[in-house]
Amino acid sequence: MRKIHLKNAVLVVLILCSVILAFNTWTDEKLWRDNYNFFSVIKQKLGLSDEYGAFGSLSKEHLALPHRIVVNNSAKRSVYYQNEDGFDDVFLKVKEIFEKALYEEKYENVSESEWYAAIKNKSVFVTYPVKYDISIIGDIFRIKEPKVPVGTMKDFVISYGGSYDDTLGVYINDEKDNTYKLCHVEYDTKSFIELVEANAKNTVGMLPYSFELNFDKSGDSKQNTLIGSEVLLNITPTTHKAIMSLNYIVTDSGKFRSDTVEKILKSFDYNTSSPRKYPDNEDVVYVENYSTIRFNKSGVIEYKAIANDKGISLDVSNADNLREVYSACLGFVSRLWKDVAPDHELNLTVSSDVVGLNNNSTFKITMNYYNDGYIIRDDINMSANNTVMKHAVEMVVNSGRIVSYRQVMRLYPETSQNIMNIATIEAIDKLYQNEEFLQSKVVTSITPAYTFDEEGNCIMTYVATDDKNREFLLK
Amino acid sequence: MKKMIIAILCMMIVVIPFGAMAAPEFVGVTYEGNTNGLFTILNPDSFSTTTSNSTCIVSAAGTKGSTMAVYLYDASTGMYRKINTYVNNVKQNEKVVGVSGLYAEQVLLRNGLNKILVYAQSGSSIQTKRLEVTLVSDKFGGNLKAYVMGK
Repeated sequence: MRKIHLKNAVLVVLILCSVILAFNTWTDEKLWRDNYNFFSVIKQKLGLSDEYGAFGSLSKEHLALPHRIVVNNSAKRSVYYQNEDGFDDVFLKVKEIFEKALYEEKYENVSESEWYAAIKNKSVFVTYPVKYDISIIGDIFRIKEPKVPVGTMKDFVISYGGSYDDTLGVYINDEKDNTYKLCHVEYDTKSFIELVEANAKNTVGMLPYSFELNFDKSGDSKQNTLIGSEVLLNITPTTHKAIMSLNYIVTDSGKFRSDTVEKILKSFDYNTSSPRKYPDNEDVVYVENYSTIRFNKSGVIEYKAIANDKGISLDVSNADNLREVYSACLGFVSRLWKDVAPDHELNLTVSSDVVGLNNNSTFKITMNYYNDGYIIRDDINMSANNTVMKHAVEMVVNSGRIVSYRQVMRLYPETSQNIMNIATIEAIDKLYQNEEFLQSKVVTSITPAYTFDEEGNCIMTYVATDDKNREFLLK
Repeated sequence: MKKMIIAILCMMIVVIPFGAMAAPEFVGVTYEGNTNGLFTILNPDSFSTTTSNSTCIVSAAGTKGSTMAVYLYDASTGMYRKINTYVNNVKQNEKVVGVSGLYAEQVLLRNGLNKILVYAQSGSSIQTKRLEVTLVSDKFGGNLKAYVMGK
């Protein structure tokens, strides 16, 4: 009798396992072509799928992380960049506080000086790599409709101003009309102070803001340069880990890696059993009915659709919804990387503002590789169209379809070598060698960056932008 | 007597090279320089300031090519002594102002009054500027802030 019960129990477990496994297999989107996943649609209707599906994987969430967190505790200050030790610990608490602020409706306008005072207090200053529409920020924090009365934002400050009740000030810079907004959120201030005290480790003097040195104001004829108020300046030279640039689609002997090429072609829904291709100088171009993919020896792949309506369809229900389109773009980049280089971490960050679609439903997005929070500028000359590829990814979407896509398929592992970078003021002095910069002499941003010399050696330098939004890579 | 001569010679060997360079190791308390046109202090924005922050960053707009250094008053010698910063074990105690005209240097403050001197030299022109920064404790700074706010 006991034996029969045992048999029945094993049978039930096995049946349950088979049902669950079959359900997972059927609803796996990889099994189906876009828009034809019958079971996935049922799963969504039953409410079993994640509402924010496109942010579901870790790598996509990674793409939506802030670029820099500055923890300030009067005389102490530390800067944490993405992937750096301590970044996650600080951001987890910051996220908790900022989420409360996104639900808040009562905001008051504050002056620029109050914003800077907040930064200098016991504070955490969070900066995203680009400007985001507030709906995107809501999406990042999984809040469907943020109540905050802000149009576009890039940074926010959580500051403890010495209040005796458990409230913290959350300041947001609305980039749309360049105003500063403040709300108060209830939070355990003791825990916030502990966070700040534990994570602000270096002296402020080694990394001051431009506004602390009055470099953002013009008042003396000897001062030839104005520097944006929130620019952090390295007063002394800094040391960094060197990286190397490895081509992921070409072997050391200069031949294309057939397995990687095949994976890329599959990701773009190309026929890999009998591909149509032709050589073009050193490149190889694969052809399908409505598009081409060019494989460049430098490691760049370039997809182009012959017409806007022939591009790769993204999984969006409304092609005019920025949130959906942006999310689908991240999903595409992330999926491509996972298919092609699953064993390597995706160290990409968005490098173009995400503030809206163009009039004709066109959305352009660029991304760059980063190491230790510093942008990698491995500029590649594209002889085929005489352009320089400054970004790791360049993507154009029209009406929910990818019409153009370029990506540098390279890896940038760290080496054991250390390299030095000059101080920021010295870098600004070097900017004067560029004639274009002489027309403006205003630095709106300047950050350390990795690049490579003509021999391929890694060098640490700076990328600066001026008030006319021109970008300068110092070499 | 022999020891004294050797000591004087040693001191000369140490002091003369620095004297020949732009900024000397020590500057006397009454030394004024001979010009006012080499730099303008941007931070701190007044001669005398009070802070609870243990570091002060002296920033200035300077003339291109001039050599600048920051000094802190040393009570043991009764003179201003040049501040040394070490980067990767390399001493950096003066900077040449570049074409941007920007200069910045960190000063680690001691509790109480800190007498600072900023020095610049270009050829035979020398400019000095004195600053006073008083470091108070965090608690005192907080009380002062509360008092000012209450007022």
